[in-house]
Amino acid sequence: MTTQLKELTKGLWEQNPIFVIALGLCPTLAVTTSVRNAIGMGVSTIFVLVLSNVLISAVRTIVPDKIRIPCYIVIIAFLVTVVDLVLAAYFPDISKAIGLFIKLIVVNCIILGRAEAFAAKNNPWRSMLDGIGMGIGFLIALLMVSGIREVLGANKLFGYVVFPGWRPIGVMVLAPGAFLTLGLLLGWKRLSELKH
Amino acid sequence: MKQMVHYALVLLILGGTAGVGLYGVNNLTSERIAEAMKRNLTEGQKQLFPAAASFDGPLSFPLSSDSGTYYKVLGADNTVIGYELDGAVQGYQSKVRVLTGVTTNGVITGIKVLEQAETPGLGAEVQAVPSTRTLWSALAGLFSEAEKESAAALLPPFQTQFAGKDLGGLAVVKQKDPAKIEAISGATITSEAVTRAVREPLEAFLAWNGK
Repeated sequence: MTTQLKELTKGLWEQNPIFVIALGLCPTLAVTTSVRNAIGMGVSTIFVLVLSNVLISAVRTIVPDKIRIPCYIVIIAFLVTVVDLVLAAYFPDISKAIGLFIKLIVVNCIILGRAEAFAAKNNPWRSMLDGIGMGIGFLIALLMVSGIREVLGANKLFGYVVFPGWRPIGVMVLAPGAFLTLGLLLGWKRLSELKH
Repeated sequence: MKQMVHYALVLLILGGTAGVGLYGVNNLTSERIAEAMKRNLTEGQKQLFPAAASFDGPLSFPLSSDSGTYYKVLGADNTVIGYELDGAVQGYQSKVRVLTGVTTNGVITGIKVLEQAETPGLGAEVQAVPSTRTLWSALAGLFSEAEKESAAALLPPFQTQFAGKDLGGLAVVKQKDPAKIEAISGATITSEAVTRAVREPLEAFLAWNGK
């Protein structure tokens, strides 16, 4: 039980996909301009990551080692397309809000990274726990970066003005602001580990 | 050799299964997706011409080597009060489809972006509606009903720039200029794409309709 709990919780902070493994930085830089975008991306990723981890883990014994990467990519692309179509057909409002992110997930290296590093070597149940933990860890990291960028760069949080009258630092919503925020957060995380 | 055949078979089976699965999902969902798109279009048509009694279309007009789609906007007494053009161009990473309302004098009544999948936070901002409320009043609003915002009445500021302009004003600039279209910062390509999706069909349509 304790090792299973560990699979679930390790991704949240200790092995956070962004701050520690440093995977999926591209979508992190792109979508963290606002907290709303971060939530859209985070939730869509959790969904696809859990499904892809379970599926890949289920076929891990029949997929030959040498062609595993193309196999994983077929499975991930299949899942992303299904999620995209189903959302557009049955939940048009949600699709409008997060449809843009779904298409970006195909190239999110967290999905392929977890498939390769975890799902290919563990059973579906453990892979699901890993997917949930890593997904939530990704969402936590996105929320931290986007919270800082939205407040400093646009003087807003969830689209609402935070400090009336204060002129925000425009560069924070552009790419350099994303690198700065992410770099400082990564450094802070490493520093807090070094002290122990 | 035997191994190669094995690899090929695994990939074939996996790819085939995924293909058949997607065929099924597409069959199940395509009708509903088309319906949702149609609803979106009907809403847009009314939004651009609130006074319209009915719409006649889709009709087609010559647009470069191809043909464009337009609708006749009919008033209460069945006279034509304007047109709506349905234009699409390639944006930064997706097709940007825009519906443009234009009066019989060639003045734009408004535009609505029907489809786009541009970068969230940058290009996708063409559809963003910023709130003027503060976080504190929004938090307070959770507890009192009086603070409700009429979000439905708000239109994306990038798109409202087009209303009242004619062909001459459809140029993208980076500085504030009420006579032109101000680009969204960090998203010049998408801003250009929306403007082109308005200008190109409009130019062709006016030339064809005016003859």
